[in-house]
Order: sequence, then structure tokens, then C-alpha cells
Amino acid sequence: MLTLKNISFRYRGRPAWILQNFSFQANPGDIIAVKGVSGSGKSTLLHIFCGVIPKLINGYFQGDVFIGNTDLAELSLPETAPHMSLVMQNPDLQLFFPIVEQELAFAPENLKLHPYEIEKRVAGTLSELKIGHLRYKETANLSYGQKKLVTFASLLTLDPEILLLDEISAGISSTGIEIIVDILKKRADSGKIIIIADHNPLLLGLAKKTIDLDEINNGPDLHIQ
Amino acid sequence: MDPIFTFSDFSFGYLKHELLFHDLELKVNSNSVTLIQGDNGSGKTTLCNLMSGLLTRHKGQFLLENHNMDKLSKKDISEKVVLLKQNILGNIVAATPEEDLIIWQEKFRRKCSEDDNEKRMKAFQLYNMEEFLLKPVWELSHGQIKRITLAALLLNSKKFWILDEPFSGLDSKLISILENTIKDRKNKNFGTLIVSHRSEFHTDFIDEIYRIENQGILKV
Ligand SMILES: Nc1ncnc2c1ncn2[C@@H]1O[C@H](COP(=O)(O)OP(=O)(O)OP(=O)(O)O)[C@@H](O)[C@H]1O
Ligand SMILES: Nc1ncnc2c1ncn2[C@@H]1O[C@H](COP(=O)(O)OP(=O)(O)O)[C@@H](O)[C@H]1O
Ligand SMILES: [Mg+2]
Ligand SMILES: [Mg+2]
Repeated sequence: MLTLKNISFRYRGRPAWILQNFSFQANPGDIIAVKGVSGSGKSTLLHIFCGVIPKLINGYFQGDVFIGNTDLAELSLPETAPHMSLVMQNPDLQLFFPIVEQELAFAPENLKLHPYEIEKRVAGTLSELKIGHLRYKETANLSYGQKKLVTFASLLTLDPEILLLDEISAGISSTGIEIIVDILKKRADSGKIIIIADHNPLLLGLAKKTIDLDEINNGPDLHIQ
Repeated sequence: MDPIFTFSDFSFGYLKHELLFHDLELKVNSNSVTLIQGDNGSGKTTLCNLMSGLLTRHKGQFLLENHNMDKLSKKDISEKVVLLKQNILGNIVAATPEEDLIIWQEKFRRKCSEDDNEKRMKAFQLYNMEEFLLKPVWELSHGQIKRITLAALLLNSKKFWILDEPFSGLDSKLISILENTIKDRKNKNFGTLIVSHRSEFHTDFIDEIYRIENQGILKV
């Protein structure tokens, strides 16, 4: 279970609140859509979920985030990652290794899994996403969409309980989106919590609950000056 | 219709033993809207980069209007065409939106012009960016960063536009603003090439659709 309790946030130097006293709960198996116009705060909300806000980003933050009964404030970011992890909007910020295979093996190696299990996750993910041909490619030379698929693949080899996806569909072909949709359905069926900030109707359509930031921001008494 | 780009017997590969394009044939019209589709990794961005002079060393014929691309300087090319890169940060040269557009204006200035400020403001207004002119780009959302470059395009209205995934990451209102801009341009005989995975365009919006496949390009 993932819980937000009375969250308020605004960035330093910005008058507008992104969230005010916002509470929310997600249960295992939930797919949640985060909707909103450009600049409404979709990425910000995902950063709050995973703890990057307030741990790395300056601003006025109030409220609590819980994974189960654990207060996120008590976990460091590396301690949070195996439970909850984010695919960022910009893949260039998230690829660290020269070769795709290394990128995918990094998380399960870090979890100290058995080499057999590591190989199973890496090979399984590559084939599930139909990107086996990229395994030995240099990450720096991939096309944009290929980079995005690889960052998604490394989330899948990490296999956290909560998956946060920031505009995962941007730059992905329609075939690629169908593959992603299938994978997300399967993961939700197996009890993962999946939170999707996106504009793509196919992905948003997966969700049972929606957080509509435009609605929240147009509500009463929100913009203090 | 005059082609702005002509490819004939055209080949290109990043690696010697691996061609991405082989004997490609394509004419891109200078005054209409061309859509290029293709799977991830098929070569769409590569094609855009070739047309903007960012990649060289092709084989075969490759003309910009009547000129051989290999004979043209980057400057010659950038006076005819402008590229919106798929990797949006790759389009930004300054620390703030305002500064970025000023650099665009200065880069292509032949004569000092009084209405530079006004043009810049109009461009930012169209994309709802007035509020963020002086904000550092690292404090902007993805869509806001993209809007800086969409505004910069408006300062290059007489050039041929090459847009690599212009609609991704934009909300529906921004998409229709951009679509209208592209339509207006077409009515003034300025063409646009769009790379996009989106398929739901109005029928009157796109003039020609091509798909990159098997190292070549096919009309759809
Ligand atoms: N600098 C490079 N060196 C080697 N290979 C490269 C380089 N840049 C791109 N490639 C490869 O060339 C192919 C085409 O890449 P390109 O970026 O043109 O694809 P694309 O059609 O734009 O894909 P996407 O839809 O994902 O943006 C891909 O397989 C990519 O891995
Ligand atoms: N580090 C930051 N500092 C200040 N303002 C920011 C920062 N990051 C984002 N913002 C602002 O917060 C708002 C929401 O941004 P974001 O969550 O990225 O929007 P989106 O819904 O497009 O993902 C935007 O107006 C953006 O300019
Ligand atoms: Mg965002
Ligand atoms: Mg591309």
C-alpha cells in the first residue's frame, strides 16, 4: 500500500502550490493515471511519491508518504529504490553504463541476486520488451525510443513493488506502446502498484483511479499569491 | 512543387559494415507537410540530422534545392532549414527562455531590428510562456522546455521546418496550437517535415506520409 497524507508542496521561488493538503492511497494491483496539462505538476507528484522531493529538491514540503507502514522519510533514496522506483521523462539522465546489458544487470547485481536469477531477469525482460537485439549495443548510440525502452527495462529487472512512469510513451512506436501496456497489465495483476503520468490515451485507459491535476489546481482557495 | 530535398541512390550507415539506408529515393516538397513514420530505431532522427547537416558522409545523390549537400556549409543549410531535435535539451543554448530566443535572433540577424522584443514576446505568448521568461531552464518542466523551442521556431518562420517528434509530451491544447501554426505556414507556402509516432491527424493536415522500412522509405 502506498499512502500520501496531507501533502502540500511548492517550489522555492514559485508562488503557486502544486499540491495543497493532498491525500491519496493506492493498493496492490492498482494502476493509477496522473493527468494534467504541461506544467501542472505530473513529474513533481512522481518525485514526491519516490522521495526525490523533499530529499533532493528545494521547496516548501509538508505531509507524509508511507509505503505500507514505513514512513518514506526514514528511508534513504537507495533504500527506497528496491520498493519503489521511477522511470524519468528524459532517458539520458538515467542511463549510466556503456552497454545495454550492463544497464539491465546493475539493479539485480546490486540486490545481490544469484547470477542465474540475474541472467533470467535480463534475458526475460529483453524478450518481454522485444529488444533482444539491443543487448550488446552501446547505450549512448541508441535512438531516443530505444533509450526509453532500455530505461523501462532496467526498472523491470529491478522489479520494485511500486513502479512510477513519467511519460513513458513519449517517442515510443505504437507497437512499443502495445507491448508496454501488456507488461503493465501483467504486473498489476501480480500485485504491483503502477503510477503513470502520461498523455497517451491507451496508457491512461489502463487506470482505475485518476489523479487529475488540472481539476485539483482549479479547485477553490489554491493559489496563494 | 519544388523539392527542398532530393535523395537518390542514397546510402548512409553509422558503421562501415551496417547500412541504415540503402538506395533510398525520396523527394521532400518545400511547401507542403510531410509525415515520416517508422519503428523505434528505423532511422527517422538520422534522416532529420542528415537534412540539417548534422550528419555527413553519405553515398549517392543528396540535394538541398539544387545544391549538393556536401558542398554546403552548416551556415548555408541553417539559413534554409531549422530542426527541432527529439532530445529537447539538445535544442536549448541558454540558461533562460528569454536568453535562448535572443540568441536565435542574434544568430541570424542581418540588420538590427526594432521589433525583436515584440516578436519574441508574441512567440512566447502563443505558447503560454510569459510567466517563465527569466526562469532557469533546469527549473522548468519538460513541456515548458519544449515550448521554448517551439517559440524559437516562430522566429524562423521563412525556413523549412524539420520537427522530430514535436507533439510528444505536449497536452492537447498545445498540440492544436502547433498544428494550427503548421497549417498557417502551409497556406503561406512554407513546408514542414514531421517525424511522429502519432497517427491520428486530420486528413487535411498532412500532404504526404512516408514510412521508413528495410533501409528505404515507402510512400504510405
Ligand atoms: N551515433 C550512432 N552510432 C551508431 N549507431 C547509431 C548512432 N545513432 C543512432 N544509431 C543507430 O541507428 C539506428 C537509427 O537511429 P535513429 O535515432 O535515427 O532512430 P529513430 O527512427 O529516430 O528512432 P526513435 O523512434 O526511437 O527516435 C538505431 O538502431 C540506432 O541505435
Ligand atoms: N526544480 C524546480 N524548481 C522550480 N520550479 C520547478 C522545478 N521543477 C518544476 N518546476 C515547476 O513546477 C511546475 C510543474 O512542473 P512539472 O511537475 O515538471 O510539470 P509536468 O506536469 O509537465 O510534469 C512547472 O511550472 C515547473 O516550471
Ligand atoms: Mg513532466
Ligand atoms: Mg528518433
